[in-house]
Amino acid sequence: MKKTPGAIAAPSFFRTAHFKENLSGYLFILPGLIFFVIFTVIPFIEAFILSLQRYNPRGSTFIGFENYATLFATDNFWKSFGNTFLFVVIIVPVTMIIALFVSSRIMDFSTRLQTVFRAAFYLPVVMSVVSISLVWKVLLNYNYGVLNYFVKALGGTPVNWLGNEKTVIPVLSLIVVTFSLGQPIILFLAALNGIDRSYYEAADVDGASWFMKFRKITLPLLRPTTLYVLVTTTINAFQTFAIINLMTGGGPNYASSTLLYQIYKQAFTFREFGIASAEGVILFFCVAVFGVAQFIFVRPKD
Amino acid sequence: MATLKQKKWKASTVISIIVITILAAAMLFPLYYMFAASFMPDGDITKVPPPLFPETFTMANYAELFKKPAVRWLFNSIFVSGLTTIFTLMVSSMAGYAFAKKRFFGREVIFFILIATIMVPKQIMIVPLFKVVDSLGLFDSHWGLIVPVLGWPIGIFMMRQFMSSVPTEIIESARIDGCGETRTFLQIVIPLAKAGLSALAIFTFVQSWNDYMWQLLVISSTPLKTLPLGVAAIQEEFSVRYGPQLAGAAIASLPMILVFLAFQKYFTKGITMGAVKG
Repeated sequence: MKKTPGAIAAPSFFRTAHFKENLSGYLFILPGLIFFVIFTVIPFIEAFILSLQRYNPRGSTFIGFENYATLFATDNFWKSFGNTFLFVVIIVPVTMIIALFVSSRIMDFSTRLQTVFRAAFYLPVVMSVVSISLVWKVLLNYNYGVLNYFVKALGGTPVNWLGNEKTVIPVLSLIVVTFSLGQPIILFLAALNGIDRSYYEAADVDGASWFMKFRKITLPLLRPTTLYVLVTTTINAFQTFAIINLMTGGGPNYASSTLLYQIYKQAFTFREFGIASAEGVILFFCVAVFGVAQFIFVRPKD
Repeated sequence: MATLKQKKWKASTVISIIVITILAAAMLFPLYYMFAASFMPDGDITKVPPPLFPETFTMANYAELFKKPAVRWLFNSIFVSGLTTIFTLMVSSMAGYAFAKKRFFGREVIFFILIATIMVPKQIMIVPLFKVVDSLGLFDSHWGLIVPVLGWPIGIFMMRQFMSSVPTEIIESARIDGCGETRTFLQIVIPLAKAGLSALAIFTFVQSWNDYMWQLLVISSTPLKTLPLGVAAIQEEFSVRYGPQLAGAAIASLPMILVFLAFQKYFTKGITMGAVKG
């Protein structure tokens, strides 16, 4: 019994009926695939190649890991590196906690009230980030901003929210939280609605408190959604850019500069494509490590 | 004992309602302030104490804004987001249908690669992506904003999820009745996937409208700017004059707010449909 090698690799590929089915499948995915390859696969691979080159419009030269070495010897790179994580470490937990709290609570409200709250938390998501930045800049203004007015009214000393190296990242992070909540809340609500009410009724019979029910029923059953929300919120937090570019320009003194902001600066202000790509690769590994870690620790237990 | 528990539960409910209402108000306050202050005379915005609603109502900020090519920018945004949406729907529904209903060699592998890249932030490859777009001659053109997002894996994923729920028997019986591939897809599958397509459409439109970073990189000439880009540029010009800036901010977000309020149902659907579970 001898088999041809082709038959082993693709047993049914050459039989006409299957061939037709195969062909039509390929034709249907072809447009998507072409765009995907040109604008995702090729750039992804090229990012690694560019990071090993000294960029020159008339022909780049291979320089090994020199771009990385240059970066690792720069203080501002490490500052931006640390800031990137600071953003993530503030944005992700605050978003997760508020989203979980709000959704598990408004669950019990009437449908109409649920819709109102869902809309309230989702509206900042659809607003243009340019608008959000502009408004907050006015609200946070040192001299006549609404926020400092209330600080003064309550007897405090006004704060230079965006000009102070200590406050700038927490303030920007909280603004990011305002437009990060909508999606998680909708996802959690959908998942909560899928939980069998009889679990809660049984717990009520046993006299369990709201917190008990939340910890013993809601959280474990929400695990797949929690994982998804956690990973997407983290990825988004790593990509905080617009608000930095529009509100602080990475300042004061690199205090709010992140890896992504540095990629932008290096590439499109200084035309250092090699350095910028190296930063992109580093950012990629940061996101990958975080993502994989979250999958391992939050994965639903089967 | 029982009454005590009842009371405790009620108190905690009241507290959480208050907390959630305060949170929601905090979310909406900037939105409210943006619109309110955009109708105030410039001097009023910087008054102390800051007025929270327009004491003297003026349209001057908007008049100033429309001295700029704001209408042009608005149409640019509608053009870019509109075409992006139409093309995304075409590409994603075709691919989604094939991944859900067709059997072809390598289907699982290709689909897996697509899904894996959802987790890779696009911003990471912004430099090579820019180079690709530039080498295709799409720099400073609206097509440079439209084309790169068309192979959007989330769109394909959403459509595959949705197409999976279309009953295979209907497709098969159409084929037996002599319906060709194209007709089956256009006349049987697409009408059945309408709800999913609407959700994806709205999602794509908003996403494209608000893709500030990519717009910033690709568009450089003033007449080609999108509305958010144009408004961001105004900010630099009117550095300390908040009135026109806030009017611009209001105009840049108003279309999306209206789209959201009109189609809220589809947003919810799109978000839950796009979620990769497990």
